[in-house]
Amino acid sequence: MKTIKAELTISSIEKHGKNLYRVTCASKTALPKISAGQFAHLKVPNKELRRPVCVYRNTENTVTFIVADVGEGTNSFVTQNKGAQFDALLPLGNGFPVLPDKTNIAVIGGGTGCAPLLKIAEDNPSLNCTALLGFQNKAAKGVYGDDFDKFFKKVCYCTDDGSLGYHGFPTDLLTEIAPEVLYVCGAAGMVKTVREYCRKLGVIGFVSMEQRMGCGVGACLVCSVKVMREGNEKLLRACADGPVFPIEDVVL
Amino acid sequence: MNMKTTIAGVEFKNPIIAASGTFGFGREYNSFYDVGKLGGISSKGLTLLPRQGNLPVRIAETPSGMLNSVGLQNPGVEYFIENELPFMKSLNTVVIANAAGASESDYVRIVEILSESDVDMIELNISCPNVKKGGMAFGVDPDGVEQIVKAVRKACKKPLIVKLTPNVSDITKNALAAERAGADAISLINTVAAMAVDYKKRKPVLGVVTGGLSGPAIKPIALRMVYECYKAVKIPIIGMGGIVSGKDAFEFMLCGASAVQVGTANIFDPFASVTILNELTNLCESDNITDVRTLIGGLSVD
Repeated sequence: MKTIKAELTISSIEKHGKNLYRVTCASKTALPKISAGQFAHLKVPNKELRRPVCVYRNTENTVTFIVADVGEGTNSFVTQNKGAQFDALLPLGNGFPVLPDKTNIAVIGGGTGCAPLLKIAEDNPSLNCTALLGFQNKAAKGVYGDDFDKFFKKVCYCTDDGSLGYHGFPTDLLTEIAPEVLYVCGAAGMVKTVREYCRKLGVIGFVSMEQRMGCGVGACLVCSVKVMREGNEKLLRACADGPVFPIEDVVL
Repeated sequence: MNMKTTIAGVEFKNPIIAASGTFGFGREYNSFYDVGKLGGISSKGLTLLPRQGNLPVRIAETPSGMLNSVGLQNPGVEYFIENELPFMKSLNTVVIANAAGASESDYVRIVEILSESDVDMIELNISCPNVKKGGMAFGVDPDGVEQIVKAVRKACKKPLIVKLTPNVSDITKNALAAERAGADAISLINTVAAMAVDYKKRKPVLGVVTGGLSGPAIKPIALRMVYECYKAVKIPIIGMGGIVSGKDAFEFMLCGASAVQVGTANIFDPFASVTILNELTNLCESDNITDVRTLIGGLSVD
C-alpha cells in the first residue's frame, strides 16, 4: 500500500452543527486502497505543517473527510470553497485490524471520532456491526447523514442535549451489547471508560489516538503516544506505529 | 555541469544533505523517492544509550516555522550501527552520524564507537536545545566548544563536523573554537531556543515549555551567521536554517556554505529535499554555472 501525494479538488463542502464539516474531494489520478482508520496528511492554505485527518469514505477517485474547525489549520481548511485544490499524503498509518472469526463487533465514537469507524462496516459487510455514536446535538450528527445506518446492523445515536436518540454518553449503552471486538475513537474519557469495559469483560479493543503531528510518515518523532510495549512505557509514533493501538496498551 | 562538492575530503554528489532529526535514518522518505539522489544524510541524533525523548506535545506551528522539543529520542548508537547503518550505506549517499551526549566522556565514547563503524562522517551535536544535560550546554561557551571538540578529536578517526548553536552572542567565537580544536568542518545553525503559548489555556504549547525554532522564520539569522563564520574560519561550512527552495540553498552557498542541509522542509513535504536539489540544479543551469562550487562565498558585498 504505497503512500502517494494526491492532488485533490474540493467537490463539496457542507457545514453541520457548530463546527463540523463534511468535505468531499475528487482526485485526478486513481487513489490507492485505503483501510479503515488510516489517515491523510492535508496541506492547508497559509500553513506549512500539514494537518492529519482520517479518511472517512473513499472511492477510486474521491475521498471524504470529516473535519472539526478547532484551530487555525482546520479553520483554514474548512473555509475553502468548492473547486479549491490542495495536496494530501495518503494513506498513512495503520488502520483498525479486522480479526478473523470475530463477527460480533461494535464501534464507539464521539463527534469527529466517529469518522474513522464507518469504513470498518462498509469494507466488511459480512460482520455483524453495532455503532454507538455520540454527538453534542442532532445537528452535529447530520455531518454523517444516514451513512452509518446503511452499513451497520444497529446504530444507537446519543446526544449530550437529548435532541436525538439516547440522552447521554454512548458508553452508557455498552452493557446492552456484547461485542467480541470494540473499536473506539473519541475523547480521553470515552476511551478510558471503554478500556475499563474491555478489561472487565475480556473484550478485545482497539483505539485510534491523535497527537500534534509533524511529517506524518514516521521520521520526525513528534507525534508521541504513550504505549506499553513488553512491560515498558514507550513513546510511539501516532503516525507510523499507530494511529490505531490495542486499547489495553495505551497509557491514558 | 558539476554539482559535486567536497567537505573535509569527502565528496558529495551534490550539496543537498538531509538534516538530522528530520529524516530519521532515511527509510521513510526512501519510499517516496530514491534518497540516494541526495548528497548526504545526517542521521537522527544518536546517544550512547537509547533515549525516549521528551513528553508530548513536541511540536507547535509558528509563523513561517515550527518549534520542536523531541529531546533526542533515538535507539542508541549500537542499535544504529547494527540495524540502520547497513541500510543507510546501501543508499549510495554520504552517511553522516549525528552524535550527542550528556557529558564529555559520553561524546568521546560515542565518537570512538562510530569511528569503528562504516559511517562516512561524524556531526558533533553540541547544540541541541531540548535536553537538560549536554547538548547545547557544551556549545554555547566558546571555551566549552574548544574543550569538547579537542577531547573528541583525539578519539575521532572520521572527518568531524561540529554543529553550532545560534543561541550565542557571537557565533564566530564558537566557530573559531571548533576550528582551533581540530574540527574538519562546521554546520550551522541548529534551532533557535524559543517557545509558544496557548493564550486560551494560559499554558505553553510544548510539553517541556521551550523548544527549538526552525523553518523559514530563522533563515535570515542563519544566512547572517553563515556569512560571518565564512569570513572567520578556513574550514568548510555546511549551512542550514529554513531552506525550503533551490533559491534558499543558492543563497546559503553565496554566503559561504560548501553544502547545505534541508531540515524542516522535509516535515512540510516528503519530497522537499529532492525538489530543492532539482531547483538548485535548474537555477545553476539557467545561470550558465558550470560548477556549483563557484557559488561558495560568491556574495558580492560592495
